[in-house]
Amino acid sequence: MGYGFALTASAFYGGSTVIAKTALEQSDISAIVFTAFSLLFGAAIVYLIFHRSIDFTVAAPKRHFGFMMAAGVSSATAVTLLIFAVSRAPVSVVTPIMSLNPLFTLVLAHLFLRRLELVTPRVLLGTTFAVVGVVLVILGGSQL
Amino acid sequence: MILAVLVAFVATFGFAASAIFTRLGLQRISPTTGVFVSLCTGALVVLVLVFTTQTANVRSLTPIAFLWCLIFAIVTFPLARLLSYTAIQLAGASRSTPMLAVSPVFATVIAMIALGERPNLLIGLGILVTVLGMGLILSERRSNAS
Repeated sequence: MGYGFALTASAFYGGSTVIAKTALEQSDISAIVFTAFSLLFGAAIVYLIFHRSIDFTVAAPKRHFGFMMAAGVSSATAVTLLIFAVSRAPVSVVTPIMSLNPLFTLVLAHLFLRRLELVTPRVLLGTTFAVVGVVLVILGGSQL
Repeated sequence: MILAVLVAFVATFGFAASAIFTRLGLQRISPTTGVFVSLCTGALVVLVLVFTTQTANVRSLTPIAFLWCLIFAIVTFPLARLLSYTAIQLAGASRSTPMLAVSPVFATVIAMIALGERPNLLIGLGILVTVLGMGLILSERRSNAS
């Protein structure tokens, strides 16, 4: 079920990439301003739809909220750095580097999530295949 | 150019770190609460940066630009990010991240359908190799289950 959610999320991310590309081409807005207001609108929409299930009173330790805040900050910082990188180097150079994300995640999971997740040789091989495939798609797309 | 490549590697590390933090946080927090907390903190960081460095750009924004932000936000956050957080909670960061990373393949397929783009040999080969990788990860889950 988790894999199904991941693939569906990936399809939505794919769709959102097309939307972002169209938006940046058709309206006079810089990528970082687009990201900032999208995040702001996203927080408002998520609150409007899911406010009944957003729960700050659960007995979860505060550090778990800290982890989620760290996730938000690291993700937002990564987006900002990505925009900087794209502004200084060709997209055809930057995007293949970005597609290495799953391999970085595997290394970090092996180091910090040993208690929660086991990184097996098959997962490593599957991830490497996926990364190589995505890099080929990106390189192929840059030739269009 | 070298600086940009280094920054791209740091950005990639940032996305990977985000997946690890998400996995740790969602042990005791629901995905909806997690998405809301991460969006608020992320928005705060980027908005501070934008209002300190891009004030002129913000003032010149048109209603159409805001509409595009809204459309992007609807598809990306209540749908894509919530589903990806749920996937990380259920399948783990190491197994769900490769699935999430194939979004360029979906973007290519969507662009082919919506924008009429035609795939070349590299794209076809890339999609094939990606599907093979997904199959390997899924088969591991099945062999574990059996």
